[in-house]
Amino acid sequence: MDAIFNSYTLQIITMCCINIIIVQGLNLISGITGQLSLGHAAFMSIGAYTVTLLMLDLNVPFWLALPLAGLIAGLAGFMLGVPILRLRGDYLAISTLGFGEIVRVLFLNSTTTHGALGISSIPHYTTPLISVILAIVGFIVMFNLTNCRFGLALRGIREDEIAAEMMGVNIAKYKMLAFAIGTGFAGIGGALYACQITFISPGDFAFTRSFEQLSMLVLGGTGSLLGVAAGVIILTVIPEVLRFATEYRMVMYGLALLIIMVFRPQGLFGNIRVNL
Amino acid sequence: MLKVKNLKTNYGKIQALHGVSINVYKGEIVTIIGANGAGKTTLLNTISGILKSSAGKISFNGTDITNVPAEKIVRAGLVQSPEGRQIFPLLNVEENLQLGAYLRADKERIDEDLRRVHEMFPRLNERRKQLGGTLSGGEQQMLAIGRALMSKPELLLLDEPSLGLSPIFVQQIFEVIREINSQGTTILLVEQNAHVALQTADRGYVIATGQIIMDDDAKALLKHDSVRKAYLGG
Repeated sequence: MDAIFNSYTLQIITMCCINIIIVQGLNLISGITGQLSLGHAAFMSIGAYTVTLLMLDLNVPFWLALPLAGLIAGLAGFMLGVPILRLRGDYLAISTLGFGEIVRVLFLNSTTTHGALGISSIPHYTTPLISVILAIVGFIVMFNLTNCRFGLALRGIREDEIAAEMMGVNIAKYKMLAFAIGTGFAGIGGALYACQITFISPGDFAFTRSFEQLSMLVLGGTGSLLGVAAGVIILTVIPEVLRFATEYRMVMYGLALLIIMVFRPQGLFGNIRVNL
Repeated sequence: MLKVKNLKTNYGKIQALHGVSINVYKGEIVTIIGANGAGKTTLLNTISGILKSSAGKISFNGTDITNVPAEKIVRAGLVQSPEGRQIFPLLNVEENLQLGAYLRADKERIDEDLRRVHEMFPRLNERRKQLGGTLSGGEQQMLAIGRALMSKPELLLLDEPSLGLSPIFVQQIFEVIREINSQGTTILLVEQNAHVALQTADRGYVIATGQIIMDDDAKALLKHDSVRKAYLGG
């Protein structure tokens, strides 16, 4: 057992669980509701900074700061949703991208967040056990959310907004709720990330991170909860496995992405193609 | 039941409806016929709250529903089955119908209506688990109408139910429309296929460039010279 569960593999497992929580949130927004977001990392960063500042500056205990991080990220998502969720497809994607950059630059220039220096020596609270438990809880919550009336309405919005509206679905309200819950998940994941890595800086949450999360979602299968787990695990583990290839690592990573997309454009577990 | 008075709707600066007035009484089938771009769909979408009007008044059962959100209009019993079918392609037939009953909570009545829809369209029962997008055009139209019926409308708006269907399916769909009507649902029907629409309806309106240019009994319109020339091919 010790050979498998050493500190290195445990760290990978923890990162997988954290990413599963975050991408589960993205799946609710982009996969289930069909609202393409390219700024998911911004909400992760809001969660990460919230938990860090609450703990370090205000001495809030971790178990209170963690849900608060999710709440504040969800609130930020909700407030962003008010103006931009009327946009569709690529217009929405570009505005979420813009929002992600705004958040990053704000953290970069604020003195409370120590700007580009970032914040170090964050207490290490995220154990593998906690991350696994929270990933499972998140999974159960998502499963129930997407398989009830609420989830059906969200999928209706994804399929055809006008038809959903004609059936009496209040699309503005439901998009906003999906956005708030999805970004809340990103906030929780971001908080766990901060307490795992113990150091955060604005550069950790650049748009490349959002793209990475979107790749995980698309690769695993948009709209599928199992697909999220598969996509996250594959894209977290592949770079580790490829360490032997040293400088060719990212080339092979890219190649793996390419091959999967050519042969399974709907993702490993999905049946939906993403429309930009 | 439905009173539309001097309704005007714009797309940006372009005015699509120039003061349309129509009435629909309880129990009727009323049709609005007209060419492409005459404003038929615009009119229905404005009535059902998808589009906002810039002037005029719409009232339903005596309540003003002008520019009320679509969701509240559905709740009041006015439901539209959209043009080009617009079913949910990646939801299965059953889920599509469930979304039709989205605003209702009375489980037993919903099941009862589901049975009624299945009786009306046995094909939908056979294909319960099939994805909406994999149905044929005619089946999708059945699904769209079935879905609208699941919300138990008092007034059903149908936007071009014959669009893209083979003649035999058109006959079938219109038989069903008559049946729905005989079971107590009032119907407002928009059609390019003027012939079959006027044969089915009690009364008709002719719309051209955003204005009602004629209204009469459907039978009278069928015989009317200018209608025959313009919409029935001589």
